Amino acid sequence: MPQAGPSTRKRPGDDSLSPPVRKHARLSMGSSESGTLGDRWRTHVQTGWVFAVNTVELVRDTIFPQPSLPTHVSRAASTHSSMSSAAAPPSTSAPSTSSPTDAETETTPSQTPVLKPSPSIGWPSTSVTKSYYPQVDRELQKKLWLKQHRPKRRKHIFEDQHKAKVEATKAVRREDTLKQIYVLQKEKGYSADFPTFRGLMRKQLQIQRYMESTRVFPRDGKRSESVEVDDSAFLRRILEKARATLNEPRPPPPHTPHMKEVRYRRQIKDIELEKRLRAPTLPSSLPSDADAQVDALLKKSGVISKYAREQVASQDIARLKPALWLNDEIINFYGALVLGRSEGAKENSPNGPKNVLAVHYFSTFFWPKLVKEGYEKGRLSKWTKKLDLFSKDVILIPVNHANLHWTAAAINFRQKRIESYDSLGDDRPSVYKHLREYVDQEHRNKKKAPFDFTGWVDYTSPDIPQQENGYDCGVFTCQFLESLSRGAEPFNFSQKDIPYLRRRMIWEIGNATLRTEY
Amino acid sequence: MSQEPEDVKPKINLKVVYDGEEVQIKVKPNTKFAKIFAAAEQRFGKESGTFKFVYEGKRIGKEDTPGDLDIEDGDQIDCFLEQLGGWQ
Repeated sequence: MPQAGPSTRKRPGDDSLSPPVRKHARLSMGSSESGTLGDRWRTHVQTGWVFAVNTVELVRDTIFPQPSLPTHVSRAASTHSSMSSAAAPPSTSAPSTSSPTDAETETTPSQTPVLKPSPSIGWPSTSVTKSYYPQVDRELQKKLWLKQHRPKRRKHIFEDQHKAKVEATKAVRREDTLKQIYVLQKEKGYSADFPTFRGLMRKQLQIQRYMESTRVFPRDGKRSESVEVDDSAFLRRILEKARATLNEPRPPPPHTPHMKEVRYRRQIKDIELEKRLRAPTLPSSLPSDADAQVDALLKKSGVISKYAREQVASQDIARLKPALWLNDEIINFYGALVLGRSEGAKENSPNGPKNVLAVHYFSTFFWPKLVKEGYEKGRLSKWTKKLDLFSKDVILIPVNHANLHWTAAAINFRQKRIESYDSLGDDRPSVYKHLREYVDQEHRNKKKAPFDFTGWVDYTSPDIPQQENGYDCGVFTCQFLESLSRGAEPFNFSQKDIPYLRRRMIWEIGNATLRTEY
Repeated sequence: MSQEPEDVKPKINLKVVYDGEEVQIKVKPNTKFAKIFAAAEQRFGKESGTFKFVYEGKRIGKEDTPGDLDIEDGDQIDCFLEQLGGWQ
């Protein structure tokens, strides 16, 4: 302390961190001004002492600036550290007294006075300086030394093979789990193939790893390595998850009515409307009691049934058995039933059958009269003596072609159509021609004026039920006429309904009444 | 039926037409058509029961009489053979 008198005196006032070099220079100058010879000598000795102390300190610091530096440690011996610790106390005042000349003369690097960590009490410490714990240093040193000089562990002779085997089994197990997951995902609707799936899993694993590494151990090589090893655990977790979700109750699929569905619904609606417009499909057989009646009717002989001016005998009704041609008796009887229903409906419409039009039925003999003799000579005006044809909705005419074929024709006043329905698909142009002539002449005869055909068309339905054999045209014709009398023009029967319709007609003729199950 | 009014009532002429051919048959208004049918079939050289007779579009039954159908003098009766239809 006393040696450093001038410096200590000055020190408390000076709290700035200005370089100590300048300070020293000023101090030394001051001393030289005031000093006698003795004084100067004393100072000299003093400087010598300081130098010695400094050197020791310097050596100590260069040896242990940071205990981890291996080059110094290797050189260092335990004696050095003990020495430095012993030398520490005197060094407390050292930096203040050292002169620039001393610094220059030193062999050690020039930065010493600036960077040298000073353990002195009031000296402002920088962040670079480290606390000084010799015991800790020693321990660290020892550890390092041991680590470097540890004898190498010798490998077991099968170590490499064993490790390889373990790796292989691990790989197999991993592949196995991967496949299991794949299968589970497939069940849930995963569509791609296995290699793609493997790629997906790899991607997921990478993401997972990244998440874990950033979350828990950022920038730690060792840790990330350990995660790498944990691949199978990851896969196991995925597998468990997949199994769990597979067992869970599934949520209902989201409701997304896109255009396709909307269109489909519209179609369904259209079909339903169509169905409602069309008559319901026919049953395949009559009710059992009616069926029994039919069988009884077929066994009867003589006149079976009478209606209006028509009558049907056993030989006629037998024609309604399968695969037989129909004659005029059956058709006219049936036509009479249709006509009678229409007239009956007119009389008591509330209780009568629904949708029955006002019709007139011309018998099968009308057509040959019209074609062979014509309106005048055939005296056809007399056929409508008691009725106004033009007040009707539909005029029904069965047409016999050359005693071979039956078709149905109609004069449709409601829809202004001359109609022809042929179960063989012929459009029968002569029918239109003759009927147009007939309508005109009838109009001239009864209304004393030519008939106005504006808006009238010759019509045949685009989808007439077609017969698939050579004998059912009479049945088709009767059913055309019956349907037309109800305005049920898109016909609801086809060839497959004919066996039923034949039996139904037997019942209808036998009971002289039309059934309501269209 | 008494004979008195029958004599008083005039006989009516029926034109029976078959396929363009025409025959005249003179009948009493109360004669049953069964008799007229037989006569017509005979005239046309057909077996009995083969014809179907139609008056003004209406089928004539065997038990009917011209009087029932309001048939007047000179009216036409049409004859038809059985009509068939099948298509082979």
